[in-house]
Amino acid sequence: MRSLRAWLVRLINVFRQARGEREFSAELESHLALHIADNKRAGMTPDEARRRALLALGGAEQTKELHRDARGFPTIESLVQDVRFGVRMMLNNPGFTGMAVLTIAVGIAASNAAFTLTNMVLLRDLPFDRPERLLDVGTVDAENRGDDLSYLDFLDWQRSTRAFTGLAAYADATMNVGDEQWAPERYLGTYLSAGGFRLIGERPILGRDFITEDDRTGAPPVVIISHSIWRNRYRGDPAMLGRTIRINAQPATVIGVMREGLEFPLNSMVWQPLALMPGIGNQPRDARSLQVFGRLADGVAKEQGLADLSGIASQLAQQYPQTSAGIRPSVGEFRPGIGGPLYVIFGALMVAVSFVLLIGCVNVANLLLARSASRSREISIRVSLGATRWRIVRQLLIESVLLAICAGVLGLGLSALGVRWLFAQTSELGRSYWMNMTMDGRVFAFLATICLGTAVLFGLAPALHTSKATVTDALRDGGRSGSSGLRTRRWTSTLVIAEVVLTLVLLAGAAATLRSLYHLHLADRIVNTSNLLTMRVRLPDAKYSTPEQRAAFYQRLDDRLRRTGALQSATLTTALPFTEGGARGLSIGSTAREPRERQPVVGLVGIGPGYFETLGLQVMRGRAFVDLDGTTGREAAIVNQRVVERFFPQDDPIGKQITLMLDNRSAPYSVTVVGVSPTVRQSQMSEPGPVVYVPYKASPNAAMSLIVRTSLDAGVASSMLREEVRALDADLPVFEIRTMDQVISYMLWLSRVFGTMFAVFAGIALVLAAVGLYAVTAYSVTQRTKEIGIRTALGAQRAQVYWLILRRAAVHVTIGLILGLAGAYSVLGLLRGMLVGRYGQDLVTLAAIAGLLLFVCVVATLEPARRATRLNPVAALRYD
Amino acid sequence: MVDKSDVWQGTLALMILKTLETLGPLHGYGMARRIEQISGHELLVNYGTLYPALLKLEQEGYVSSEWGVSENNRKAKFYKLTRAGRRQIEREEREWGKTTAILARFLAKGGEQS
Repeated sequence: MRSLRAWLVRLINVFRQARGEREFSAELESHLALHIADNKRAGMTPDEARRRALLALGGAEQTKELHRDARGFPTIESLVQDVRFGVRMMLNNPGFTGMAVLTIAVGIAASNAAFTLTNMVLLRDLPFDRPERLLDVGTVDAENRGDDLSYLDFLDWQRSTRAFTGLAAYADATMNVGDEQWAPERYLGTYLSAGGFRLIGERPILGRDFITEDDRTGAPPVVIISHSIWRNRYRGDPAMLGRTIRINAQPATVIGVMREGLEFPLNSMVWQPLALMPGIGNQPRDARSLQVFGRLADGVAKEQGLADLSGIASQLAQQYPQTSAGIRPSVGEFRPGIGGPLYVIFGALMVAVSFVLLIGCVNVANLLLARSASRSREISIRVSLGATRWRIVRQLLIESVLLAICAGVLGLGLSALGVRWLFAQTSELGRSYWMNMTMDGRVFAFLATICLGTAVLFGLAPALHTSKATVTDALRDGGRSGSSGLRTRRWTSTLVIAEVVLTLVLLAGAAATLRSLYHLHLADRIVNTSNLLTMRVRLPDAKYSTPEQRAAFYQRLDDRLRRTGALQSATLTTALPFTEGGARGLSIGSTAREPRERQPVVGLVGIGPGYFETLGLQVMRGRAFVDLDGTTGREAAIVNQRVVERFFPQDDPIGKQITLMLDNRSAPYSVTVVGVSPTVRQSQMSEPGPVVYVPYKASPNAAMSLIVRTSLDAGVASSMLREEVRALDADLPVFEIRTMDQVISYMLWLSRVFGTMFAVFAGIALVLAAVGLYAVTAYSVTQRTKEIGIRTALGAQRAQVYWLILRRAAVHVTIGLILGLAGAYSVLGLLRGMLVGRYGQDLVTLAAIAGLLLFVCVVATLEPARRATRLNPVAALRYD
Repeated sequence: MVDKSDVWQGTLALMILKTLETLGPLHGYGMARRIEQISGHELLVNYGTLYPALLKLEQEGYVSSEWGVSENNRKAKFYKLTRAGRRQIEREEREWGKTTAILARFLAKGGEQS
């Protein structure tokens, strides 16, 4: 107890150092006064009296020191001292501090923004009730290929499982919501099995959830709508429950309204029982397309859940060997919408960001090293006063930590801006309802870790280096010059080379992404996209089940559109330009001679008669489609220029036959080439590929896009088009109305965001590299002042001095460039598949980047070199 | 400065408390002279070592301090025993008594045997 009291008193004294100091000084003075008085009374002279008194005391300063150490907590006090000193150092060198803080802050900002995004998408808990108990359930076949579940499988697993409190299945679908009053609107909806909402801990705020009776074939159709549909479309109608509305042209009773903000699983606004999904009753056991999740029963581990399902699966495999042999369950984290490719993308993002951070750290480490020479005197004094090496290192580390903390605060602010930018970028893409970019505890923990990590990273090496050098220096008469320079030089050389390598790799990545962006944006825009409006329609299977019905509808639509005066031209297509078309295997001739896997792949797009005209293109050879094309006996196709380059290099393709195959099971489709068109890119990623166009009549899809060119305002045009479609079919909405420019920019989103990020990072890295090289060269000039003085005095010309300084920098930069080029080449190889195709890995681009970096480095070293030539040899020789 | 072992520090602390008990409130110098008188120069190598010991006692709450005026009208800081200090003296005296008794028996026995 007593020692606790003592401890507390000492803690408080930490904050009252000055007072304690004063009081004890006074006490000591009074002690000495009393003793001296006694001595004088004993007959000593005043001087003798004082001397004896001091001797008896044992020395005033030593006593004070003992008392001071017992008063408070020496460790804490010295730490506080170090911090105050560090702050003073920072304020006294605003230039250096500003540069260092800014450098690290930028790296921290980028890392924080990237991590916030990654956290939001991949790490943060979903807003479900106890999400860690939910598991995503899938299947794995005998060849370890993953898949979803079939309806029959799901029912059996759900019925027999004992490890899960419940399983639920869902499938997304577009749901056209219609009623008598307003035009139908298309929403994304979900067919969800009964009990699904309960598993995630949600229930409707109005009405009721699905029950097992709703989820049965033949049950009266019901629907649950989202809060926003209820608010916006039905104006918060209090009598919503029990109303009958039409979902995909089928009547359904509204039984519930979900809470605001819920759009489970991603962006759905309408939910119907799974049994209502068209065709689900007839799906065979091996049609595996349902996503399934389940909640583990309390106390059940994931492995037990898996074992339980495996038991059920093997029983089914025995019962139904044809469809279910070798099918095993797989379980994982339940995170709807997040799949493999996203992990790769975010991985790449975090790597790129850590590059920037690393470059920043290297830079600041270099700056610290360069500055260490100017601190050697101070540190020598400390050493001679008795500071241990650890104490000095601690002091320097504290200074680094202070820098890092300032950088962290600044970086946090900057990253908020970055996060907002990223948020805005992703909004058009349709974020899942459970994603929101707030910085939670995990992000702040990450920030704190990075701050400390960078402090150690850029501070430790210089601290160790500086403290070591000067301890030995203090014993000699070192100071600024001497062999310590060599050791420092080795460090800074390595760091410079490292910085050049990292910068080059980043630059290469940026150049590659930007080049591909350029190509995607400009070089392929042979389509005249002004005044071009696009939209989609989707014919529900219930009403248009046969190709003839669909073709008939499209024909009527096409005719209507062409007769409208306001449109300059109109056409239908299965795939808009710059979006993916179907893929087919191609064989030259009237039959397919090889299996599908070995055939070259081409794109397939079904188009209407006015397609090329609407796009502002002209068929280059041969002719465009006429009405009869596509009917039996007159199978025709138009190929694009890329097809000709690859498959008909010598001959004229017109009149030749080619065969297209979807897969090994379907019948191949033979067509005669009647025309050659310019190459329009269909995919978003790499270069434009070979595409074969056929009349859509040959195989009319359920979903088609309309393209119209009109000088009308987009809003006016879209209402007009909606009316035209409605006139043909009242329940059919048009959706995704966008201008062609918007389509393109949507498609290019990934490249655009990544390109911008890479460009920003590369720019930052370039600036940092230049600054770092400048600092290092300036330091080296300072180190070699005497040497330069001697040389100049002995007659060295200005050019020779320049070369003297530049030579070393040139060597480092060259080594860095060579290593960097090798690194860049391999990194680009990795990126190739992801983003950029073959762009950027060519030697020309790499040489250009290397040249740019070299130029920047040379410029950075010029100024210090120039100053070297201006040195007055007399002053330089006296310099110490 | 010579580093004192904990045992000596403990004895010094006890001496300080005992001195205060016997003589009443004292300032640091007065205490130092008194202890020197009694124990010679063994315990108190120099007067400076008294002050950290006084500080510790004060932190533990066994003594309290107050500025006052000395015999010859000089300002000095006087230390006074607290109630807890008195209790501590009793406790320590008992402990010491026990220790010395055991030790005495030990040494006597040893003396007999050798």
